[in-house]
This record gives sequence, C-alpha cells and structure tokens, in this order.
Amino acid sequence: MKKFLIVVCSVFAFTGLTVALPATAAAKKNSKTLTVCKFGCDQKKIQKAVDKLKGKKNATVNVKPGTYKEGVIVEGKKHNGLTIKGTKKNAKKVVLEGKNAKNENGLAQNGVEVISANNVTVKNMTAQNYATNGFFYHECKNYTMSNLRAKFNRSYGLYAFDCKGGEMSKSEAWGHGDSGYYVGATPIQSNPKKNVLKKLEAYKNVLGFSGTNSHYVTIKDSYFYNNGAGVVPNTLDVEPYEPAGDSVIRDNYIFWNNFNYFLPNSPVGTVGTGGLGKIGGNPINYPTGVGVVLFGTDKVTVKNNEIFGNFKWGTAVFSDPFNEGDNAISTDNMMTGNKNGRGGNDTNAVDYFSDGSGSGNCYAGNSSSTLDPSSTSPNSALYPPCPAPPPPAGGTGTSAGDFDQQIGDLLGYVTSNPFETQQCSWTEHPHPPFEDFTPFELTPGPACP
Amino acid sequence: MSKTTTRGVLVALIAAIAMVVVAPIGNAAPGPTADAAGKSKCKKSKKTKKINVGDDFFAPSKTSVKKCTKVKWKWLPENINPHNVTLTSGPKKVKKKDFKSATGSIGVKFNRKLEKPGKYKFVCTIHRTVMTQTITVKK
Repeated sequence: MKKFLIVVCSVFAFTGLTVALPATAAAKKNSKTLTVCKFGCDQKKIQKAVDKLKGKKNATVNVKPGTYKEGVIVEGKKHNGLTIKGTKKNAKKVVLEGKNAKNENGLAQNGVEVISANNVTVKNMTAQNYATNGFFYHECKNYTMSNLRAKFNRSYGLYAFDCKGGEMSKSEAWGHGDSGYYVGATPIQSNPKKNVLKKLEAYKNVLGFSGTNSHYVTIKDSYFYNNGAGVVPNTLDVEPYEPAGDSVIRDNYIFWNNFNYFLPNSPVGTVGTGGLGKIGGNPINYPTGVGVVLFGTDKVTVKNNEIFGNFKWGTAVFSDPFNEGDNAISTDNMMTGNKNGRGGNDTNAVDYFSDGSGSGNCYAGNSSSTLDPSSTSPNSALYPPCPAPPPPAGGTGTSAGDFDQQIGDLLGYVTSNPFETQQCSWTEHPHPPFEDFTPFELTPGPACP
Repeated sequence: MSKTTTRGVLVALIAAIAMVVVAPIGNAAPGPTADAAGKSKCKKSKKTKKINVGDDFFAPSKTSVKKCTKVKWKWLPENINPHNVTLTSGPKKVKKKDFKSATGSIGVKFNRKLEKPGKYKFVCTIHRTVMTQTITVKK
C-alpha cells in the first residue's frame, strides 16, 4: 500500500509537471518572438518560424548564425509588422543560401520574399545564389531592409516593387544580372511616402541602382562603382506608373562604372536579347561605362555627387522616342553641384551627355571639364543653365532628341553589335587610388574594328 | 488493492496524462485542402499545352485548348527578370487563388488543368502592362 501511495504521489507529481507543460507550450504559442538555429532553438527553418507567427502583429524572428538553405516567403497582412533579423550585427553570420534550395514551387526564388505585408523589416543577413533575388518586397507599404548583403542572385539584390515608402540602408549588393538595388513601379500618391536609400554599396552589377517607373526616391551617401552603369532611374512600358521621377540622387560617390558584362568571361549575365527592346531588328542594350543615366525621367535632381572615372559618360540624360504613349520624355531634371572627374585626375570620358530631347533639363554649379565635343548643336541648347529656357532654346520639347546626338552617339552606342563592342568607343585610362577601392575591368576587352 | 488494480489505476492515469500532453498536438491546424484545380473530373485526360514565360512575354499570348487540358507554363532558362502567372478573370466558380504561381526568373513550376470552359485571362503582375495572356477553353 505504501508503495502504491508513493507511485500515486509520483504520478500526481508527474501529472502536475505535465499539466504545467501545456501551459508553457501555450505561453510559447502566444509568444511574438521565435528563435531559429540548427539545434536547440524554437525552429530550425526561418519559414517555419514565420508561419508560426502568422496573425501576431509586430512579431520577431531571431535568426542565429548559420547557413539556411531555404527561400522564405512572408505573405499577407497577417504578417504586418514582422521583423526577421540576424542576431549578430555582422551580416556575414547569417547566410540564406539559394544554391540547390527548393520548395514546392521548384527552385527557391528569393532569400526573403515579402508579399502584400506592411511594415516588415529584414536585417543583419546575407542572401546569395538565388534563382531570382536576394530580398524582394512587392505590393507593400513601408519596407525596411537594413544591414543586408546580397550577392550573385540572378536578378536583383534588394528589390522593392509596387510599394509605398520604405528604406534600404547600410547594405552591400554585388553580382546581379539586373541591379544591386531596385525601387520600381511606385504607385502615384497624393501624399507620397518616400523611399530612402542610404549608406549603400553596389558593385559588379549590370546596374548599381535601377528604378523603372520609380517615384519619391532619395538615394544618398552611397557608393556605386564597378557596375555597368551606376544609378539608373528609367521609364519603360513594361511596368506600370510611367514615367519615373520626383527623385533625388545626392551626395554619392559614383565612379568606375566600366564593367563590360557582355564579355564572355563576365561573372554576371544579363538579358540576352537586349534589355530595352529592338530597333530595326537590333537589340537595344543598357549603356555601359556610365555613372548616372536619366532615361525618360521627370523631375529627377542629381546634386552634390562625386562622379568620376566612367569611361563613356559621367551623367547621361535622354528620352525614349519608342515608348508607347510617349511617356519617356526627359523633363525638368536638374544636375547641380556635382564634382566630376576628381579635378581632372580621374576624368569621365564625357561628364555630361544629353540627347537634347525634352524640356526643363538644366545644369548649374557643376565642376566639369569634358562636355561632349562631338555634337554640332550648341552646348547652351544641350546643357542649358538653371532654370532652363523653354524649347527650342533648351531642348526639343519632345522625346526626339537632337538628330546628331541621338543617331551619332546614343543609338549607335546602345545598338553596338556584338554587344561588348560598346567598349570600343570608351576613353580608357588608369585610375589613381581612391580610398580602398579597386577597379574591376575585365580583360581581355572586345575585338574592336 | 491488488497489483492488477494498481496497474489499472496507473494505466488510466498515464492515459489521462497522455491525453493532456498530446491534446495540443491534436489541435494543430489541418493540412491544406485540395484546391479546386486539383479536384479533377478529367483524370483520364492527358492533353497538355506548353506556354513559355520569358522576358517579358507569354508565348503564345493567346491560345485555345479543349477542356481538361493540362497547361504547363515553362519559365525560359535565359530569363533575368522575375515573372509570375496570375489569373485576373475566368469562368464562374474558378477561384483566382487557385491560379497564382510563384514569382521568379527561372525554375518555377506551375501547371494547371483547365476544366471549366470559358476565357481565362492571366497577367504577370510584375510586367502587367505588357505580359498578358488569354486562354480560351472549349467544351
């Protein structure tokens, strides 16, 4: 009997313990924070933690150091306010690996994809080798991407599409077949939310920044170097909310964007049929060797940047006469206070190129030494001071540019065939050292006629 | 109390404990229900139609198929841009959410058997101004 009592008491004690366990489990179930690691944490996969936190506003997934072979998807408003963050500030410690990562839809496409969820933050991690993007937000409000590294993802590094307001900061992106950073298809807003991009580095991408039909973007305090082209807001038919505009590019270093990714030994591939359509059967490609390209933009200000060592153009401004609906006319863009060519020590082949199209585009207070010498049009018409005089003194007023400039320079350049022979018209020179950066230029170059 | 009775009490207690402990697991969410496209009345049909998803197009962009045809969208291996296949309108009782692929450049798998006759209109939501597609399903 004594034995029986001991057994019963033990059982009750055990029961008490086990009854307490569901309470702990319940507490865990209600927790807004889950930790992910390979052993001994709440979850082994980031996706599992995200799924568990569905419906809990402002939840957090803490990701401990390690390599995670998965593509995380955060979908729907039940994830509003979610934060996914590496627990270490060193973004190299948490790696989302896309190589051979799969899910039920085939290849894992993105390190993290956020769809129709607002106020979601992703920070302190790396995404690499994904079939599409490193970090991808779409149809969202107020994204935050901070202290991220994106490398050698097929399309984009950090990517915000059809989003209203957000921030990309303190991040690094390289090796992308389109751009390191992208903000595009920004909905038109009467009280616009800003997209702030700051303290970024982009290199060895086809484009450092691309913004197709982007709006309300400020890009500042960043480095764009060794890309095919550095910073490229642009207007294209393929996405909604044309034209791109209402943006500021200021206080950046934009240099050495001479990555000829068309060469066969390039580590990065891009759109094989030409990224910008065709003319007369010839693909139109993105221009290489350029610091800033304003392609059919409206009210973009480029100011107080240091732009140097780009072998084609420092800043190029032109329209797209082939745009359906004629929505890509360069209008009211301002280039002010930029320092070009490091005082003549690391020149751009040409500091400013304009095709003479559009209206209201103006230039003031720039240090400039290498305006395009090839045009027969007067510089006062191609590069008018601010405020620009009305057409025809300050631009043609249409998407068709000055005939000499457009056919002779621009179209000839972007339709170069083979594509890599764009480089044949560069003005190349050695670069003097700049901080701790190293120029990246593929050798051998193309066979030039 | 006999040993047998004691054992019986213990078994009952352990069973009760087990129920308490296991109960939360039993409350776990059920698995996903089969989507409408998956409940096929066309099991015997082996008709297939391939549609390419490229930068930035569907090919063909317009086509007709017989009902019960399985449509396979193929993402081209040279793509750089991300694309998806998203139903914007279809015959009655066809649910849009059952016809929405993942968004990606390459390696996305997306197949659907089209059972209900009528017009199915799809877009890529990333390139919706140029990437549209209409599939007419005939009886």
